[in-house]
Amino acid sequence: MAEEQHVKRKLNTWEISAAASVFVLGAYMAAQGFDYTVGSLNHMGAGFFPVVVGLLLVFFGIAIFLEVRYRQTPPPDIPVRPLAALTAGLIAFAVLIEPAGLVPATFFLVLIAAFGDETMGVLRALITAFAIAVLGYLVFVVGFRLTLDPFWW
Amino acid sequence: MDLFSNMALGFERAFSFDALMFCFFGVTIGTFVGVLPGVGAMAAVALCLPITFYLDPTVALIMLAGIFYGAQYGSSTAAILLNVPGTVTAAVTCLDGYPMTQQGRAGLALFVTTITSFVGGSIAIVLMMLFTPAMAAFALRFSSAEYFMIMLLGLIVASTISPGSHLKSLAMVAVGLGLGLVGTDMNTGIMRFTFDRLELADGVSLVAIAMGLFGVAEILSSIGRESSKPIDVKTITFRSMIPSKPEMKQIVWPTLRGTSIGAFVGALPGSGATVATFMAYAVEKRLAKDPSRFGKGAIEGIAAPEAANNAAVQAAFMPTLSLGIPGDALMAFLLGAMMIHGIVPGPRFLIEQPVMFWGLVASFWIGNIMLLVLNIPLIGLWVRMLAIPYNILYPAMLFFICIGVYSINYQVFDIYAVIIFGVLGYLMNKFGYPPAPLLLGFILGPMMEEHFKRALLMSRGDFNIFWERPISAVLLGVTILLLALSARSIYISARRKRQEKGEVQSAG
Repeated sequence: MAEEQHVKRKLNTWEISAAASVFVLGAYMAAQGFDYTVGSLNHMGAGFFPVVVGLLLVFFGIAIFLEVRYRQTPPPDIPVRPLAALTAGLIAFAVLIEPAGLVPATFFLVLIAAFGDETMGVLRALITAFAIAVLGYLVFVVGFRLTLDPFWW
Repeated sequence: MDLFSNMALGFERAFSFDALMFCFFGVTIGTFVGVLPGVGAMAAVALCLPITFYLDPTVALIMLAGIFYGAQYGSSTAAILLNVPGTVTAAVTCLDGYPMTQQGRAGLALFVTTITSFVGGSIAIVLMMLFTPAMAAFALRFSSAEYFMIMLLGLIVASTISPGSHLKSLAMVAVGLGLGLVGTDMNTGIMRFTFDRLELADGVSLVAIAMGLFGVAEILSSIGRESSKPIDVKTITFRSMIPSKPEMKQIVWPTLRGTSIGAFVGALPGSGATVATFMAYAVEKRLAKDPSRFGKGAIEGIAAPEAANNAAVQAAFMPTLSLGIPGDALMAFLLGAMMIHGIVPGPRFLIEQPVMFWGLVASFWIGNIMLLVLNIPLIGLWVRMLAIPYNILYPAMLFFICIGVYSINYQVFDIYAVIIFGVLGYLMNKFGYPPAPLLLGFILGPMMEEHFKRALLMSRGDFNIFWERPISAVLLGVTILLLALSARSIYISARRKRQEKGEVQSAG
């Protein structure tokens, strides 16, 4: 009877993949830990804690899997637009900050990230980006004297 | 008396110009981020950390702490007026605060939350002044075994009293412990989990983790939420704020009960303001003659939780400063910030840094009085802040996040780390894996490893050390008890679910 029920119930793929990530992370840590030498209890090596933590994660991964496998929670709706815009904006900042300087990096960060919001207009985004870049320069470089080049020259 | 000379010492420091100024900055920023939904206190503290590197450590601590308790005051504003909690703890204030606004009693609600916050905070500061030195003196007897056990207990408490799946919380603690391992091992010099990146030799940046998990992730989940309607400031007059005599009477006991719950829960290692707030609300509801009033604008329903969360926030400084054990993620971050400034919190902190400790305590008084002024006469200003459109606010926050993270080490790598933790934090929220235990594990992890190794070195590899020493044994017992209770509740809920499903299926 119990067996039949298990067959009928649907596995929750999303929840299971989350649990699987915990498991995989743990397995990786434990495996790496053995490479760092585990040592003995009165002389622990660098690998002792990684192995312990890794095994804990493996255990939790399995336990969470057992807890959530038949959960009927719907798959999470991941809004692509904000996620993509924020990530792209932050990457733009990371790429530009050293070669181009603070002001261009800020300008593009804000400009790109602003489009994460659906109601954002182009003009408004441009003005916001410009304003934050200028204010940011004034506050952090002029005000707090951070050693950052505002531009590439 | 010792206490008075210590407080005199503290006030002398706290009344100096720089301390006053940065205390004011701290509580103002705190109120600001508390008021604004979608900007948490954690992100604000993380953002301001780089700025404090140039300050005297005492002043830095005063400012960061100010943001922290200032946010507790501010957070009730949006909760009451818009039904949007500015911080997690304010979610409770929404329950009865927003119905009060709908009934046209917004001014009263704002006044009551500010006053009860002040009372709760003040009583907790007195308790802190009285008990922290005793706690530290007691903790001087701790050896590595006790330290390890108390940290372990803290982590277990933090993950098993939170709502949601205990297993997921515990897993996040373990992930945090794992992240804490990244970097050069102190004893052997081996690089662990650095993937040959030089940037990781000193470990993952604490600020990058906090900004990602609590800053970027918060923005991601706030974008696209329906924007708030502007509120008419004129309806909140000073006259409408003052409670009548019967209303005053109604809030006295709930405030005191909330304060005691807050101070007690806040002082325990591992539990913070969130738990205290929910508990205070539940207690009031149970004690009320007519519990059905709750959720419909019961004044006790905002008084008790607000008193509790401020009391808890102030009391949480006790274990953090005297034992070096943070109560929640925010305290853990503050602890991390202190360590970046080269201060090691713990039992010796009070003895070695009396000016810093008592100066901080004195600044709590000053800060709370500043907050009273900021939140009652100036409430209109904060209400207007709520009109700032989120699509201008969040790009600005991203900029602060970037510059904050980058200016610590001038490493582009840290910005990528923020992106990774931001996306991770967002996904974690979606799947019900709480980020706070992760941060707690990350900060406590390296200390736990050190104490664990030291304890077993002392005992020559004999595990008995953990239950042969009386304090350690008690801590171990409590830890095991908590784990057992948690396992039991998981088992029971699993069985109940199976039964329910079985019934549904047999009926269908």
